[in-house]
Amino acid sequence: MAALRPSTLVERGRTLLASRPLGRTNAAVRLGGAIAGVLVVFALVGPSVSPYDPTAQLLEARLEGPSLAHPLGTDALGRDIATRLAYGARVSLALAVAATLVRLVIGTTVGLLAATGGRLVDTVLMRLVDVQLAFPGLVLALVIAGVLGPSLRNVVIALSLVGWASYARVVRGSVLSIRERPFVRSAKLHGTPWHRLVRRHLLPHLVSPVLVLATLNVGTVVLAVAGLSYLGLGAQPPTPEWGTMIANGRNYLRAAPWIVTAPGVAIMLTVISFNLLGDGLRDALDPDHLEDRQRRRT
Amino acid sequence: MNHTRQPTMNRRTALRTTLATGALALAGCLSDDSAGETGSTFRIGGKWAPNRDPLDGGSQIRRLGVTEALVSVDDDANPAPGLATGWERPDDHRWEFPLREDVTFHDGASLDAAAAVESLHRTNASAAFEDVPIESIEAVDETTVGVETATPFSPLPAHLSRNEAVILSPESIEADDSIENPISAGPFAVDTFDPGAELRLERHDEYYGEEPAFEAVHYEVVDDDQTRRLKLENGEVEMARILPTETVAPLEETDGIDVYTPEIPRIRFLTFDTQTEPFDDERVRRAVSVAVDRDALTDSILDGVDDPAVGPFSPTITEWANPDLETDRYDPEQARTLLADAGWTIDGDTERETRTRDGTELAIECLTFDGRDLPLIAQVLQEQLAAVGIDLDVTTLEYATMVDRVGQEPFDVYLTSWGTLWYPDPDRLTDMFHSRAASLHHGYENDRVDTLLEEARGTDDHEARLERYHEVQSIVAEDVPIAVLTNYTNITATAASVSGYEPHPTESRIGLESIDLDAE
Repeated sequence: MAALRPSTLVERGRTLLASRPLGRTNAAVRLGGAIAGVLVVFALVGPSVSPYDPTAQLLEARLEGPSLAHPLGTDALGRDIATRLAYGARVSLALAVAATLVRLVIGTTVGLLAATGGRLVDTVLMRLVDVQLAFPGLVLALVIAGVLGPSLRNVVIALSLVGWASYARVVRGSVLSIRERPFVRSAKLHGTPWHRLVRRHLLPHLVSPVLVLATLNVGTVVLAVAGLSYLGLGAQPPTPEWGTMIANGRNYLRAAPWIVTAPGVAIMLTVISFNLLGDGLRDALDPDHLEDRQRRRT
Repeated sequence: MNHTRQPTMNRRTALRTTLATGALALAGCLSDDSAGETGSTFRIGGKWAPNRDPLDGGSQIRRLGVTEALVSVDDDANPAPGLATGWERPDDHRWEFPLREDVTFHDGASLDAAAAVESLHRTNASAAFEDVPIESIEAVDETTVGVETATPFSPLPAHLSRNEAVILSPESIEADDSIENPISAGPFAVDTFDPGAELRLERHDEYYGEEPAFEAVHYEVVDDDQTRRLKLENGEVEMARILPTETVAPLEETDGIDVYTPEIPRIRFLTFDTQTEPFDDERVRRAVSVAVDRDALTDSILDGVDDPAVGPFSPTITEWANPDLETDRYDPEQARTLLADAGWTIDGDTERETRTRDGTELAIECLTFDGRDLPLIAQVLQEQLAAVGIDLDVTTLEYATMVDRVGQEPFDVYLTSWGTLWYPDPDRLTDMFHSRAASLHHGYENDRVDTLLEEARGTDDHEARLERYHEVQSIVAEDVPIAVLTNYTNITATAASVSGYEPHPTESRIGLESIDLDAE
């Protein structure tokens, strides 16, 4: 059996990207990409540039406002906020990407199984999806994280367990429509084995919808991680994490507003950037959606 | 599925509905500042939600002057006459409490021994009085309550001053033994009760004591510290209670606001699990205790408002505090020596490196709960202990979860805060250190301590008790089952026009009947 050439997927992806004009949505993608890029660079480079240890306390220098030495000020324990923000970016982005990947893998697998595994499998899996979608994601994650106990690992587990349903739906829908298309039918008629059919003919068509969803998702997950940590279920002290930083600074809102401002703005920028990026990608990769939008505009 | 749209609501209807709802909401907001709340109503913003039933923790209704007990607490944190004019102890097991004869309940009934006995029976049957060895409570005559204890029990009057032991009118105890509306004999009676949100009180005109200047009191639960402070600054309340330490300095500089910072008998402390490694070794416990720089702690994150603690009791509050105790002096060098003696060594010579013994790292978990300042204090401890080679991992839980955990399984250490005189008797030390009766989970056992505590509980010779309780404090300072860190300050701010407010040491009352508002 000829193994799938690794480049096939990539090539298909590329043709897919190249064949659709990016058009005016380019700006959104660029802006989103630029902000996300800056954040990633900040996360990667920031910690090594900063002269401070993110957990070292300097009680004499607590609650200091922004200055040259501490561009974003210091927190209640005299720790440099800019440094903590950079380390926190690592934590937030890494966790968000991890949780999103897990969601994506679970969701895609479930979606593929549901679409190709026969009626019973489809019904069972889709009811599972319905059950999950019936609960607000964050509330369910809150319960899971609460039961597992407070830690970052458990936050990732909780967020992975709740968010995959939308992937499963998208994947199942796409597969159901693709599978009736002539090239799939002819491949089937030629006796192509199932796994090859999936890898060669189905997966490449799933790249764009799933990619869009995942990009949009990263922002949501960043927000969810911060939210759970804010409630005390995520990062434990002294780990620098954006949600925890906000929780710690809340009491000092009047006296030292910079403590909550910095992580707050960082979370906002992250969410905006990934939303712009995701929106832009959708417009670029999904012409139907774009046409639909243009139709509505006119 | 049929997707034909049914025009259920057109744009105009939607607009009308929105406008109407908006108007209603606006009216609701405006009416919140309703007139009639001015002048003769005193408004308080507090953190804690009041309970209807004193047995569920009746501290708020007690403080606000709804409920009163046979015994009150004076300004030196000692038991004092309340609804009873005093007490006598005919023999070791027997107590008699003659009642005031001018007391009328909020429902108009007058207080007699039968009513008090009925109320106290309910208290005595509850879990709250499980550890109080009361044998019987009965009416000796119409105005005298007699109590008999199974063992000689000197702290009895103190226990009868507790918030659970307040005297309720027999009318307020429902058939199923629950309390819908607490009717007692304090200066204020309950008008409306919205648990978790607010409590409105009206003046009890037949109160036997000083007549309150206000016709009504409005207690509002405002959970968020900053919101409570803002409400005071905006004139929405006359008194904001339990504010965080960082508000003291800015509020003191604010015109029109007075800040009260009385020390209360409450300590923050670490409790060690003395039954498991590494804290089964007294040297390791002591090392932790001397590695903590208490002054740095209180000066920084407690804004210099709270003070380092010397023992369970603060000498500025009560004579029961042993005056000879010295705070464990901050001495990281001694901590290093103690740890090395206990076998915990550092291989390299790097500072901050975690010590090991037989290949095991000196890594300990500190549990704490999301109470004010505690997580932040835990983080400072983390830093201070790292300096002597102890790796402290902080886990912040909910209070109930933390208590469950330390009660059920081995732990290393937990950080908490405790009221040390919430019944005004040093017998509270039994709760802390008696090997069988303690409700702290240190697992500490010391026969001498047990004997002293039992003797002191039995005698009513003041000097003998003083001597024994002081000795207990000295012994536990040596053995370090707990490491006392800081005392506690209650921060209350009022409008400057408020006069006559005197913070009470055990917070058993706000003293609303003595408070007045100066004309502006």
